[in-house]
Amino acid sequence: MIAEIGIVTVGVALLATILATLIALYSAFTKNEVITRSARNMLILVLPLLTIACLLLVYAQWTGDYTIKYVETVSANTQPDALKITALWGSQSGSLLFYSWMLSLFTVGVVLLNWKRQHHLMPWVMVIAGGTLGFFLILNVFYENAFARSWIAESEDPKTYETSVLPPEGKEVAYPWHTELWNTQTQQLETYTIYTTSDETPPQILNPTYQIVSREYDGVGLNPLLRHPGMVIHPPMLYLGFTGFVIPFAFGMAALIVGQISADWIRAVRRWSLIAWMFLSIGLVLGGRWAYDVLGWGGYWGWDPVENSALLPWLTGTAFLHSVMIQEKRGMLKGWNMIMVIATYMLVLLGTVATRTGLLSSVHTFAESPLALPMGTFFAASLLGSIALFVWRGQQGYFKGDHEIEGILSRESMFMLNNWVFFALTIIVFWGTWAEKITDFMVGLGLRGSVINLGPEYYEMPVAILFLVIFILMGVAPLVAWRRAAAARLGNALLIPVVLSIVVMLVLLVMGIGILTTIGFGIMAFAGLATILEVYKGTQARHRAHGEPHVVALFKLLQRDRRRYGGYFIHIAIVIMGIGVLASTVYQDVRQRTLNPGDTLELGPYVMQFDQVSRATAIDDREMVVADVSVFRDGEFVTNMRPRRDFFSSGSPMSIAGVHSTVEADFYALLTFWEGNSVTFRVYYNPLISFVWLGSLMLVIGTVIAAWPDPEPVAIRRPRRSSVPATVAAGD
Amino acid sequence: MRRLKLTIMLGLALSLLWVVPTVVAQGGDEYPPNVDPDDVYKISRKLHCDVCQGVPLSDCPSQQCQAWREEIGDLLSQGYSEDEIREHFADRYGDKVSGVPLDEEDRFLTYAIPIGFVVLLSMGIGWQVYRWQNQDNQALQVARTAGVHANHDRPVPDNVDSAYLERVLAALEDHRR
Repeated sequence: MIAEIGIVTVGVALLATILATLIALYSAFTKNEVITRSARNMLILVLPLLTIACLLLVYAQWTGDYTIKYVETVSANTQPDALKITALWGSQSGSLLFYSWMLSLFTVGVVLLNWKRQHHLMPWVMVIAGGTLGFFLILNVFYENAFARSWIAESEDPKTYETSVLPPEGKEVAYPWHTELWNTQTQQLETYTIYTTSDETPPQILNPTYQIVSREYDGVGLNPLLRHPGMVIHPPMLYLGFTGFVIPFAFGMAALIVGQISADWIRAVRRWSLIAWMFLSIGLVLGGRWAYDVLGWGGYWGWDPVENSALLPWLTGTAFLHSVMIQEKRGMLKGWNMIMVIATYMLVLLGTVATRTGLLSSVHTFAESPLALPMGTFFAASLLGSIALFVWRGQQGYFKGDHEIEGILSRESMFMLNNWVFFALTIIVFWGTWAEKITDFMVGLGLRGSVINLGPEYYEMPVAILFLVIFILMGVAPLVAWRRAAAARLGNALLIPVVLSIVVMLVLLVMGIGILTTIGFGIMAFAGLATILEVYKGTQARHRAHGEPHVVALFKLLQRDRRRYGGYFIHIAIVIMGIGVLASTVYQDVRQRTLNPGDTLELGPYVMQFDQVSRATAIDDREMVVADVSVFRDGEFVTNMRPRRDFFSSGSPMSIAGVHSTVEADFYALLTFWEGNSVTFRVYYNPLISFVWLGSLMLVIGTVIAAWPDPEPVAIRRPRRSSVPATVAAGD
Repeated sequence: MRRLKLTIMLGLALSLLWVVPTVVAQGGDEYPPNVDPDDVYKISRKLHCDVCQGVPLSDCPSQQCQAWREEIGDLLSQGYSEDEIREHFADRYGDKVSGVPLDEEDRFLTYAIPIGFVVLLSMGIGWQVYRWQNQDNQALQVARTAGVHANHDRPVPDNVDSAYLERVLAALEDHRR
């Protein structure tokens, strides 16, 4: 019954979205307020419908309705309850439904929150956002229906089934039975999923070769790699980031169609972009943390194509968040901002296509699916449509700025340079991600002889150089005045941070740090110090002017100009992350050794002693091989660690590292192989890696500060002059 | 929530109870005695097998990857340098195994293409923006010379409140009627 209600609910949600989009389109042409409101109400209806659909699927996962194919794939009787809930985004069709729900959340949010202020754009915003939502719901209904059931005919092989939304003729609902059989000929245990037409009647095995060991009505369960806490939160954050960027695009397109490329649409999307950017940032960081804890290679970023697919819209989104200020303050870069909004949305779509169709080769992608054609078509149509609109308005002179750049040394030029660097980074990462596909296609056409496959080595140099330029700009740009800055004045403002960062570099050189690394740290120190100094100046000014204590002054400063100081907070967070990335990349030390009990391994300031290896079975039938090790520093016992390897009945094994974390460094041990009582460990010493996670946390706090809405200005009404006494006017 | 906590606690308790000190044999990489596994790791981290979906050779659990790593160990024991080992694998399996193409022409293209794109797109966008601005200025210039207003939709200035704009447009519409 749950499946039927779910199918109908998602179907009605699709119909409501299509209707809302068509009504919004009609209202955009007729300018009829009543019809516009009807479109809005219809669109709002989609959110509760999709909420019900998601809850139904979660309920099916929770109660183990394994006749629903998706539930069978991601849930199991022994699966912990929390994971039965998060299995909603554990595979293709469920996560696609969840994605649509988030899209509807943003769409409803925007029509409710921006209805009055950007009313003139709303019909088109609803058309674009509703169109996108409608497309994803089409995928939910016709391509990847999360409520599709398994069906079987009694006469068929009980190991085969058919998955479909509507009952196929002559078939009944199929109940999967996880069956373990003992093969008497090969003397081996074999595991099958056998389908019957009842959850009460277990399958009968008539073949005398097999003896039944166990039979249970059960699902396969969630992919083991997705059972990590980071992975529980990582996909929703990433989806929120992806779906959130649909809103700026919808506003951008609406502004293009209506022909009002003023700062109004920019003001509307800035906060939405910041929120989407924050979620995308959290998603990227959590993905990194998951990789660090689960993938077992001692790092957090592998330049994997799917990681890059999420990074690309982050890069253009970051560029947009900076260039948007120029349009707001000076009415410039109207065309460029539109390009950034379109590019971000297109990269979001491309990332979704790449991940969900198996187009890119990665451990993160879903299996190849029939979504490639519809998603590719939607991507191409969106790209061509938005480019056509952009060129059309461009030719009409709509992107002419209200002002010209007045000086090379100005805040505007700094932002433009910042955008250019982010743009270059986007191209570099895009090429690194898609080079294999592009050159493979060229090989197919006979234009090339070989495929170019790019790994982490390709990114190291260009990305490092461009990020250092960003750090320099991060330090300089906030000190440069709008319109035109005097070089001498800027020089004075830069003097202290420059001198201090030179001191930092000298200290690092004396400590024996290499010259290139020292330059890197020096530039980051400059960015951080310049920002801190800028905040200090503001605090000091308040302290002098109002006599407030420094802490109070800082708090009031944040309160008064949240956007500016939230931005500074984010800059400091990025500097901290940068220090962590540089230190843990350049000074990471790795050692791999096979040890017997009692043997030791030395790495960095730590000595690790291998004590014993043991085997255990967890309640969810997971087999674990656990090594007990003791960690010492300067001869003193520090901690015990238990690196382990988990084996699941399905899926790849998983390495869970033993980690001793301090602010200074992580001592990270992996169990890679074992034979008898000897174990092969790979041990990493990751200096300052904690800065990456600390910086990430600060980045989120900074974004919340910057995005926090200001109180609505209260209109002060001038009292009307009236000869009638107030009491009479009030009706008393 | 309570049920979840109980499940976790029970799971942990059972895990501890079922711990046994014996271990089933598991195969690991085998290298010649004169080879440092760290050297194998450092080289294999920069190589990719053709089916490992972006996972570096050092971390790929497949049997093929294990065989490749052991081959690196053999080559190291024979005195091959890191570059020679990478070339050896690239010769046998193609440039795909390396993170960056070893072929000089491909390596040049690897960096020239994105840099070229950055330059070309920057120039293209810059030129287009300049052209639009110039075109618009020309139109205004002609209009001014002719003493008439430019007859095309001009963007609404930034400082116009959208609610105010709505009211003006509605008033204009009423006026037309």
